[in-house]
Amino acid sequence: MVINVQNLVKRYGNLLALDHFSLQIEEGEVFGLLGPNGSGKTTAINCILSLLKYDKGTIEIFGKPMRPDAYSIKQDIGIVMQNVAVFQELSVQENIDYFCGLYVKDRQKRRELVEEAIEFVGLQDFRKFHPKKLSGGLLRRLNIACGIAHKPRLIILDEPTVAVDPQSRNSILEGILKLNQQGATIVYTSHYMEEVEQICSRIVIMDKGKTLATGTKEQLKGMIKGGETLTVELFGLKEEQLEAIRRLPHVTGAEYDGTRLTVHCSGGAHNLIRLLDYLRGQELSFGRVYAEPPTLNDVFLEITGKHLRD
Amino acid sequence: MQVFKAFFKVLRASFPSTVVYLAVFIGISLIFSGNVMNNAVDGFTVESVDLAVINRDGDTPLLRGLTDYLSEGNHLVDLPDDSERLQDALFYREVSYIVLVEGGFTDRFLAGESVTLDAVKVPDSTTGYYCDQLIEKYLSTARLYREANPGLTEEQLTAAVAEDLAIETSVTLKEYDVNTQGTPNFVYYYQYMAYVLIAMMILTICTILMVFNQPDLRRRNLCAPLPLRSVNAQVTLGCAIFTVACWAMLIGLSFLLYGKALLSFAGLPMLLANTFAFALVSLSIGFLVSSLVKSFTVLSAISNVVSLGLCFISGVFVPQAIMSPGVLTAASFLPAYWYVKANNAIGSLAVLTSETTGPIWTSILIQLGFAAAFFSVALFITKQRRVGNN
Amino acid sequence: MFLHVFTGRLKCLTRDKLMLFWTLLFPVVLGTFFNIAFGNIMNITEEFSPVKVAVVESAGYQQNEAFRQTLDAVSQPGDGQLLIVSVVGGEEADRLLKSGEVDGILEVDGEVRLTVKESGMNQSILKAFLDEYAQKSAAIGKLLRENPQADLSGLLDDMGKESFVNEATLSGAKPDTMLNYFFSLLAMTALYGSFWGLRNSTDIQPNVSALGSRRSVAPTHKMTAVLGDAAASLVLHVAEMLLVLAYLIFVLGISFGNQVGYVLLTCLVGSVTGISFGTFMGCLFQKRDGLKTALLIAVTLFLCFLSGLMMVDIRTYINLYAPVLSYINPAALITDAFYCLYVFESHTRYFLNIGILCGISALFCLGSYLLIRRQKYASI
Repeated sequence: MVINVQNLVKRYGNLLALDHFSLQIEEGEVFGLLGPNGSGKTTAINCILSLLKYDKGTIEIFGKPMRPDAYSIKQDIGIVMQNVAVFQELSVQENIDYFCGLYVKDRQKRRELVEEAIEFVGLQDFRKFHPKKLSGGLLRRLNIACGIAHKPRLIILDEPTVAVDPQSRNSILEGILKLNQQGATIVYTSHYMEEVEQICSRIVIMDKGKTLATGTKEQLKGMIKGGETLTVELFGLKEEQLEAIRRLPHVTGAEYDGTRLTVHCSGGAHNLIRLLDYLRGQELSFGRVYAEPPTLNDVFLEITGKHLRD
Repeated sequence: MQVFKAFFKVLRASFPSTVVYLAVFIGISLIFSGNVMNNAVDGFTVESVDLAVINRDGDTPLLRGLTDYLSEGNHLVDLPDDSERLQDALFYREVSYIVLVEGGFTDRFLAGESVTLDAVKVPDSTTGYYCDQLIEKYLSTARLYREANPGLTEEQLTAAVAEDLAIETSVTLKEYDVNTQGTPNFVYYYQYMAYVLIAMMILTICTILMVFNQPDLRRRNLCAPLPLRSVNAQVTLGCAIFTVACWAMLIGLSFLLYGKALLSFAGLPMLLANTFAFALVSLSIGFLVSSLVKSFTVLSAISNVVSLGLCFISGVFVPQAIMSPGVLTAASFLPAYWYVKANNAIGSLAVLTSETTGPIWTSILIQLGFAAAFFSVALFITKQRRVGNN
Repeated sequence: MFLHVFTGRLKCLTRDKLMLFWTLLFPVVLGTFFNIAFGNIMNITEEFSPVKVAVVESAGYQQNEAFRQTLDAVSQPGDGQLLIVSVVGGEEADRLLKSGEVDGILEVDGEVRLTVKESGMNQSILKAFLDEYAQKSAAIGKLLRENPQADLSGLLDDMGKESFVNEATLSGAKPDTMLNYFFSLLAMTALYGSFWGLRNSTDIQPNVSALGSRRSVAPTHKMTAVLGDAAASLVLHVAEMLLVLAYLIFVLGISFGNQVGYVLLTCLVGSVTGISFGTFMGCLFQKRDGLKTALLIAVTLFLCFLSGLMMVDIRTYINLYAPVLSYINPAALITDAFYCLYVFESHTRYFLNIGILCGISALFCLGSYLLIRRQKYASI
């Protein structure tokens, strides 16, 4: 077990930021911590890193209790903060070297590590640049390089792709997978479903300081009612026929806009066949038919509710 | 009038720093005007020197007579006979002159020996010379009686000297067109006002103009269905109103502080015209700086150096009268110099005639000339930049 | 590890151009302004130069030979010259007085009358001279009446010559009040070290900056990080102070006395005080906004104001009415330390200043330590 968090409680005054939050992360995982803004992701990370005081609970990393002065543990962690944390006055190379130097004393080794990190995030052409001159995506990459240059066993990335263009984002995500293949355990927080879906082997969905669901993406998708969405192109569907469709087994909702019928189903099998049978029975002719499996987005919205945040 | 409204919303955000300047200014002017409060004099008075007598000889009639004589018209400060304390007092001009009387001085003086007093003074200073003169006068008169009439007792001798030294020359104080009543307090207020005006205006005007000149914001303004001329006109109107408001506020404050004296002052219209001209100068400098500076952090540095530099070199903090001619010649190429010059002239006005007010109006016109020049340069730079960008 | 933190920090700070401006260039610029504005003050207000006077040509003046001789005696060019006399007509004398070319007009008819247009030191000297003449004449008249045989020749010739007063000094230094502005300026430079201290404390606290968070999760002992930062800022700031000092001494020609070693010690101690002050303020106020910087500037400038940076008289007032302030205000202590080195030969008061400064710095350090000792934060 790389990270073991039990019953973590954290209050900000009256606000309960973490409500008996528990988390177990195994060696070699790419673990996604998913939740809307203000759900407590960053608070949880800061508690795990012993930056924040918490009211209750235990935190172990690498099987040892995590404390502010647990330097041997810190030695093996790499953190990429949500906010870009680099020195404005130092160049790309100097920044990476500085932070790497806090972990690695040997100069020769450090030089190699810094070089690797620069190549890893693709900043070879920007070695001498100062952060002010870097674009948003490059700055994020520098931020990542500063966190991972010392080859940690555990890498925690707190929304590293906020405000990053798709190209940079993809290269960042690929990089993270590469780090994982090299043996690092990854903890990744985000509120972008596609990213998490793309790279994470296991996911926790949290909101209001609580764990709402844990599992692989397949397991999570299986948990929700909206098993699949069926779309049929057709004309002349009557209101009572729509009502009848809504009453079919496993159907949770149906809409019709004059050309297209959309039916949401929860679980069950043969939903499409049952629907098409009904339509044939009503002697309705239809055009294209397609069924979509649920996305993590559906799962997320389903679990955390669809109302707007913040 | 959206732009115009936005102007004042931005202004409100930079309000705290303006308040800091105002508070500092009021504090300084109060201290300074408190300092010169009791300077107004009627008729001729002998300058009063702060001095100390350290008597190591004892309380003899001769020394008592000398001390009494020195204390006439001067301010005798009581200091202990402690070397460091004396040095301290002299350095910070608590006293400008210290007389040290060694033991046995009186006996040796009366015995006809040639003896001297030690005097510690600001080297080569006028006050030092004046005090020397007083002591010489007393002792040489005493010597005169001692030598001419050796039979006198010490008391008789002291009395005779005191009688002689009571004789005074009559002095007439002649009044010309200049004000001899001392400079009115509010003139100092108006002098320091130059610093506040310029510091406040550069900082505020530049902050606002730089907000409007941010590339993105500027682009967004340019995309709006509003002629550029209208945008510029509204910003200019905002600046103008802000300038007038600042000026009016400082003037209002001066009425609050010096009400009566100011209202009965004949040079008031010129005082107002002079400050208004300088407000325009400050505005133009604000324009110029904002056309040159791009970042807010650099702005605070520039505004401090420009405002302090201008005021130090032009004699806002230190009276022009005591600055070296070379510096003043250089300063005459700066607008603040003309402001201070006009202000000083207004302060020493006794009667208003075309002869006395002429130079003042000239100074004011020169300031307006500076303002116009700065505006033109700022416009030129802005225009160049726009062309360059296209 | 210490060395790594130290060099990294030094790199950062030496590239912080804005702070370099405030801590190095600004004092230099301000010192230059001081020099321009005050450079001439000593010469004009205090230094003695002979008083110019106009004598109205008249029969009375021509007849009074004793007075003419006396005037001649005191207006001989040379070291003891008291007056510069021009004998002119009445209207010309009036014009000279009005335009300020002379300080007074003398009219002689039996007695001597003085006309001036304002009260001042030169006018007082003129009056004292004329008083002396009148008094001596009276005394001689009286004595001759009592004792017609007395030999009084040459008594009037003594006028204006010094014989009883021996100019003494308390120590070798010239008591130039304007120096206080430069001492105080150096005190300001020292206290501006607080900007570096503030930056240090910002970059080390996870609840204040993202950089602080990142550095807190590194396996560097917190004390190592704090001390590395502090050492780097101290080295840089002392170097800055020495540059300012060198500029004042070698370019502007300001004298700081001869005790170079002690002057350097004062710079070092002042710098420590400044940096520890800024660190403490940074730890005390946890907010992220610019308020801290504004507050720091305000406090620093107020302390400097009390030490006489803007008006030297302030120091005299404080010494007279609230001497305690001088013993707790770091700016006043630094200013006074420079002053002591310049004026005094003994070091008692100097070491008192330095001692108190060390004490204040120790308090700030202790306070900062207590404030950032905790390593977990209630909120970030």
